[in-house]
Amino acid sequence: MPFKRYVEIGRVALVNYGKEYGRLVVIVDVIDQNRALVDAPDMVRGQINFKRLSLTDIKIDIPRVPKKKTLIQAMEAADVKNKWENSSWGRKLIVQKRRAALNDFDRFKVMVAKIKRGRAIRQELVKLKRENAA
Amino acid sequence: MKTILSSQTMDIPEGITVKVDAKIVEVEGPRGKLTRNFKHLNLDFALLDGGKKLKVEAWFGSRKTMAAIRTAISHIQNLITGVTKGYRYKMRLVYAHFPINASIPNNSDSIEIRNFLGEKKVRKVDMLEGVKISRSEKVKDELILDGNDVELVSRSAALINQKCHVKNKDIRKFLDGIYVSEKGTIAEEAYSRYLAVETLIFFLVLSEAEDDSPGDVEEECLAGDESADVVPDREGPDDAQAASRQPHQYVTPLVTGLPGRSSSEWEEDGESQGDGGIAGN
Repeated sequence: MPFKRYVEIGRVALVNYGKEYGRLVVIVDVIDQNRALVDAPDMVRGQINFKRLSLTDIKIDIPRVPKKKTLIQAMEAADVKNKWENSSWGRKLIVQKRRAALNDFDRFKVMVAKIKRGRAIRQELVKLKRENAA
Repeated sequence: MKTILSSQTMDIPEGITVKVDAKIVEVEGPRGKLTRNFKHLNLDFALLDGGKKLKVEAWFGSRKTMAAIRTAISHIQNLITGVTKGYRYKMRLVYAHFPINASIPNNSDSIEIRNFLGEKKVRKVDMLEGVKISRSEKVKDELILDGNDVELVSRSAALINQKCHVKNKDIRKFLDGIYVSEKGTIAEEAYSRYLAVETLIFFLVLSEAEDDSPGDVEEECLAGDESADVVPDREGPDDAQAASRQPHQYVTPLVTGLPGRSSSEWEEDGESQGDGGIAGN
């Protein structure tokens, strides 16, 4: 019941609204009750409201407001990118992105593949039912 | 202004299990189980230390929500004492002329009040769940309400009190009614009875000591509250010096040959008797 992910220096968060939507950022300083200073390797350090952030489980070890170089080094050391892409949340986001980027032909291919998969599953199921009933 | 985090922790004593899930707190102890719902508060309840501590937190709380932290803890402490010691509320029947007739049926969960201020109306009060009512044996016109939940016990007492309000009269003069005289716990009464018994034994032993020489009284006082130990200890020195000590009272102090007793020592003993015989004198 008590909270497990806290806003702290080094907490990795996902931006869920605004210009930087979908970007993974690191909280680098807390400005006041509502805003934080965030930074990411490929973005200019800036302030953002907490309401625009979703905290993740990942935390890295950095001093307050580090230089870009130290930030990148710390992110490499903690292997943030891989941890994120292997987490269930990260994987879901990747799948969503892929689905959104399909063109019509890709969607047709997906439809065909789904039908094929469904047929194979139903065949197995019918086989098992027959064995069970007998 | 909103305070980011304020919290308070309380210790849970031995022998009590506390379960908290979704702001419903369950306390279980020797006298039974009590539950309380805190869903109207915006607080986080968490058990720490394997059930030995309870932490209550308020995130971004206003002054009022922060105040609710300590009240929630007090409520839980009341649950804990209810489940270990229980609650006993005593009420007195107060009347000037018309004796209040209170009768309690066998299952002791309601009370009937007759002849309040001479009225013909019979007032019946049902006790709330888990509350038992009885008349005190030793004290005249006293009711005892027992229960685990302090809210229910005190509310039952209030219901009885409110049924016996005086109407259309000067209440400064017509003081009749049933009033709460004592709010306490059930276990404490057992303890005070134990203390009373202990002091009784102590005085009994002391009164026997007054028949003997003053030296024994001094021993008595030094022995202190261990009345259980005092009695066998007294026999020891008594037997050894009984023969020599007993004639002491009836014979003048000038008699020599008695161990350790001379006229000068008499005065010391006299003073010690003054100090020691608190109860006797």
